[in-house]
Amino acid sequence: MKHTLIHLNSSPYSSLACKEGLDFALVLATFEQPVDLCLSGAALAILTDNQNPTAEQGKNLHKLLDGLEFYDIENIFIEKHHSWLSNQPTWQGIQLLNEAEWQTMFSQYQQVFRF
Amino acid sequence: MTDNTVVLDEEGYLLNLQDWTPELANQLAQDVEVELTDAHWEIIYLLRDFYTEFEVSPAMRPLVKAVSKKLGAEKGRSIYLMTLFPGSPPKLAAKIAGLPKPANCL
Amino acid sequence: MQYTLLITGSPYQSKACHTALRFIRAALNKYPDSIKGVFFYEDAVLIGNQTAQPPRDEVNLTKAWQDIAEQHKIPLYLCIAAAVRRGIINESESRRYELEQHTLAEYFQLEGLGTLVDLMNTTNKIIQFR
Repeated sequence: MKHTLIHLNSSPYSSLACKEGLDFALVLATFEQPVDLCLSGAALAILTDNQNPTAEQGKNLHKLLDGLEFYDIENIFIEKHHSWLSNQPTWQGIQLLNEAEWQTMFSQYQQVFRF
Repeated sequence: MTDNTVVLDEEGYLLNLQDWTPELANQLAQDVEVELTDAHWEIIYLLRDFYTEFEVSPAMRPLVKAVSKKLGAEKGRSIYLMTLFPGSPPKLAAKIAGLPKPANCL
Repeated sequence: MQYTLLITGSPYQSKACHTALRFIRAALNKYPDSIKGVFFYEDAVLIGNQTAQPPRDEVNLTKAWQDIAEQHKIPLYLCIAAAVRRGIINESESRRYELEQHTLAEYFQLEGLGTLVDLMNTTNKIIQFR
């Protein structure tokens, strides 16, 4: 069985990329494939609390974070240096990696998909 | 038969999620020959809470886990859900609970 | 050694479908059995729109992929959820949604993401083009 990393790097509200990346993660999990997530760049916006997008702006993907445990998706990694995140309330289930850990993370999976 | 003023899609899922009422759930269940008991209702409301909370209709595995967590391990088994909602529990229960069809539910 | 190709980049906003085409030609040229299947996801599913009409003096990407499928018997899968939301509809989906037309080009087939998981577990590597 292959261990998969889904890397989200796109803005959650500018395109469907994050949504379709997360959909793929849910399908992998539904088929009992081990899958972890990592976030960088504009995709980090998913983490901030108190999002209230309108239908035109898109689905509230932040809400799905709390549901990931039901899919056995337990590891969501970000890089530690995103200090702006610590200035506002964010989702608490993330794991912070330092730069070296972040870089070695990618080689620990048989496959990485980017969205 | 289901009230004509409520619009369902080709597969019998509610087009407008706000149209759902418990009475409608009873009608939708009758249409597929399921008699709703308290055991059904606790799953229906759990599903509706799941959707409100996470904005996604769960497939079988997450549904089983959610039932297990909220209603206990005895009910958190696919065989139990199959007896209540025969065939595909996530699809049938989502239909009666007025949720979108679970995506990628094979 | 068999590969699966996953293409996610739009045929119009990116060169993903073009680059993947060059890759698959090179791969098949050298190792005829090296590609098990090609899965299109996100905006890449637009490749399967039979009603799109590229200008005559530009490459016809859909046709180029159909040629690959025909010559090498390689299945071209489009994610059904991604395709249907973008109007790429086969005959059975057309009936299901009570539409009057279908738009899926020949040689492409609509499949769930489960098919991609299956390819993932039966080939050595997936290569993503985005």
